[in-house]
Amino acid sequence: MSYKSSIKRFLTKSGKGVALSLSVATLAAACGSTTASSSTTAAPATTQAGVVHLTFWSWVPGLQTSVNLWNKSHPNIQVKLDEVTSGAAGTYAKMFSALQAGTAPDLGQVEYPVIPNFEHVGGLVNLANYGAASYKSKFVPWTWNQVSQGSAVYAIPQDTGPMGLFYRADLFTKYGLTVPTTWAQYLADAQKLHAANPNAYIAAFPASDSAWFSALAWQAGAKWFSTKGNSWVVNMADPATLQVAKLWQTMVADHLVKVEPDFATGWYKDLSDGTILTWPTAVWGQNTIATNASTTSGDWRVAPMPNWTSTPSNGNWGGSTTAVFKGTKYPAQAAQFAEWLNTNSGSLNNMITTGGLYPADIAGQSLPADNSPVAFYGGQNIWKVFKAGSAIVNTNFLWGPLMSTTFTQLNDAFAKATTGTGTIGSAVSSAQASTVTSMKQQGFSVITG
Amino acid sequence: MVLSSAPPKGQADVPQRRRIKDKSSKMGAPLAFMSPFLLLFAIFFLLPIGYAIYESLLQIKVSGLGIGPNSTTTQFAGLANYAKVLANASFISGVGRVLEFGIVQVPIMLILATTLALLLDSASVYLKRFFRLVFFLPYGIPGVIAAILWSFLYLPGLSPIVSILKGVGFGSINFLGIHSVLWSIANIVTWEYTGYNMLIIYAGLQAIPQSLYEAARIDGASEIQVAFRIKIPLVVSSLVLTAVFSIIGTLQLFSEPQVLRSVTTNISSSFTPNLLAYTKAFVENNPNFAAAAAVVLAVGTFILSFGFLKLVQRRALSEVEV
Repeated sequence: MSYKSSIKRFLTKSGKGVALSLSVATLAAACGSTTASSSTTAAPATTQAGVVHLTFWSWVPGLQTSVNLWNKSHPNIQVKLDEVTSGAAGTYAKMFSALQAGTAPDLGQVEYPVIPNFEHVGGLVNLANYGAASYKSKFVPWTWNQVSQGSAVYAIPQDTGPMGLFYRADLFTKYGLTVPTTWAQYLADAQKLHAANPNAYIAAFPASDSAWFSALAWQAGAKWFSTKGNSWVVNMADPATLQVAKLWQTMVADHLVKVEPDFATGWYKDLSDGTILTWPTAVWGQNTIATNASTTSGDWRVAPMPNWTSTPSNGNWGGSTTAVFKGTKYPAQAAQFAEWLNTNSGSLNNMITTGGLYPADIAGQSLPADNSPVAFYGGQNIWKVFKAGSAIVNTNFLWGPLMSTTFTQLNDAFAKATTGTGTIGSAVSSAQASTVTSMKQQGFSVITG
Repeated sequence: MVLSSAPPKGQADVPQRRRIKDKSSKMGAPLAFMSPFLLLFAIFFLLPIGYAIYESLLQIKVSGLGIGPNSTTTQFAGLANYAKVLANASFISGVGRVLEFGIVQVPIMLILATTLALLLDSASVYLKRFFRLVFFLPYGIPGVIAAILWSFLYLPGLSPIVSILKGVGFGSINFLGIHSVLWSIANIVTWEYTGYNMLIIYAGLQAIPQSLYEAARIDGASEIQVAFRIKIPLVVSSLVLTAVFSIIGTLQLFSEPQVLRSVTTNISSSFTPNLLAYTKAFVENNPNFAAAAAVVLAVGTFILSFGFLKLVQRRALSEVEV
């Protein structure tokens, strides 16, 4: 579960893992991912004829149990799992170098926003050649759009992070706030709360976490990247995104939200002591709160995301895929494993309970492990909110080829905006301009939307 | 060389042969002794630098969407990456920031270190050992740990310092604000390295012969006069050394801002030149730009350090002449 906070928030955090994410260590311990040491997968000393050996790099806690299940039922395709540090903490850099050196593993864990980056260095095997196109109906629709390009399929979706609104039910009652169903109501709640208690805020604005912001823009119907013929269309400052930017700009300017980094010591404290009352976040946030604000057990509930229009829609934050790397000797077997890993109910059950994942596999969202009441949330079956939320995630949101650069530029621009240089809206525009410059410098054909 | 020619005298033969033997051993033995060092130096120093320079001359070229085989190639870029680094506004502002940092922090730290060293040099033997250890202790704490430790002392809501200052009427002081965060980092660096620099200066003081002090006292010099007229002029070389180390350290500022990034949004990904190079290499997967930035930084550090050395050497010489 641990990996939620460290991994799901991905790229944008990179180096920060080193620092104060005490949560990661504690969580990892809590997860008890002790299965790593089990040795059923150790390659036999003498390779039997006809047995295929695959290597798999992943950082999902407890994934070894899933791999063991596979190895037991597939004696002729033995997978060796290498537990690596999360992608942004160095594994992506290692994967890129390994691809260049021709020493990449057969399979690897890759988050959605990084897939286009691996595609453009030619690092991924087109799994459509091995029958992957037929798996499409098994997965949540938006995930399939992000792993495929035309008829090509570059990865098998593993997990997702549909958004929901976590809120302090006890403090909502105390301050007489209504659970917002629209963002206008959310703003009204923020103002009412601030009037009642200037030291309490409706939420934190994590200026250094633009991936979070991208999920909010995604919900509003943004379409940051798309392709047109042989060109990328970059349109980050579209009306949907600017609408989101304007709301948060208002709240930042009026001190209705607290500007601070998320997944940091101060932020955990604010979650625990009632300084911040809500957190619009992905399904995996349930564990972040339960672990880092454990004293608030029973106080939190989850509601569907507030909406912009009368038609409810949702965004997604985080999640990753299983990709097959170029250079594998056994692409067909690797593709078979990737599909099995992410659709087999035994494997999914393990990934939900030990890894803390919320599956991209639609059937996997109805397993008992992710469809039961949660004591920490006062016995609410919070999964129902996310299952419904998952079904309405906008399907046409795509990532660009240099997302890590884009996120870095957004983070830096947001930080400036929250200290009075420009607005969040102008930050998005300037990040778009620098993304386009970076893309053009590398030779991409780019059209500005 | 002249071994073949017959020696005119028997005795001349001996020293000549010995000389030749000496010559070959002069070359061979030191080389043999140094070879482990030279080998490791080449593998872990020259080779990476050479590789960084090589990487800095390449760039990735993409065509169209950059999707599909052969749409991305690596090609020779000449000095294009260097041009990009020098034209990069974040890099320039990062360099400006560390220079501003250095101009303020290095003198403060060295004055503090010198003062502490002078105090230690004059204090009683018992206290000397105790304080020498206490002052040096922060240096024994790894930089990352020190930064984490201080981040707790800066963080509003957690920091006792912030709440005490608020309690005595200073209001809510934000140590992590957009303008204050650089000086909060300077404070951490000063805390970490003052003891280390003090020790170097203190070692210099220990090397001064006692007879000089005796002579000064006989001439009626006070302790302060001894400090300013004898001690400080005689440890100038130690001061120069610590200043050069500090300048190098300042330009390479990395771990403190990197750690504090997790508690404040006011440190951008390009806060210092090193942080920018790190972000480019490991977050944005652009090792070529990062390599060029690292080479520019190294050259800049080299120029600044040697420029400082030249400057103080000239001054020291002119003083001698006067």
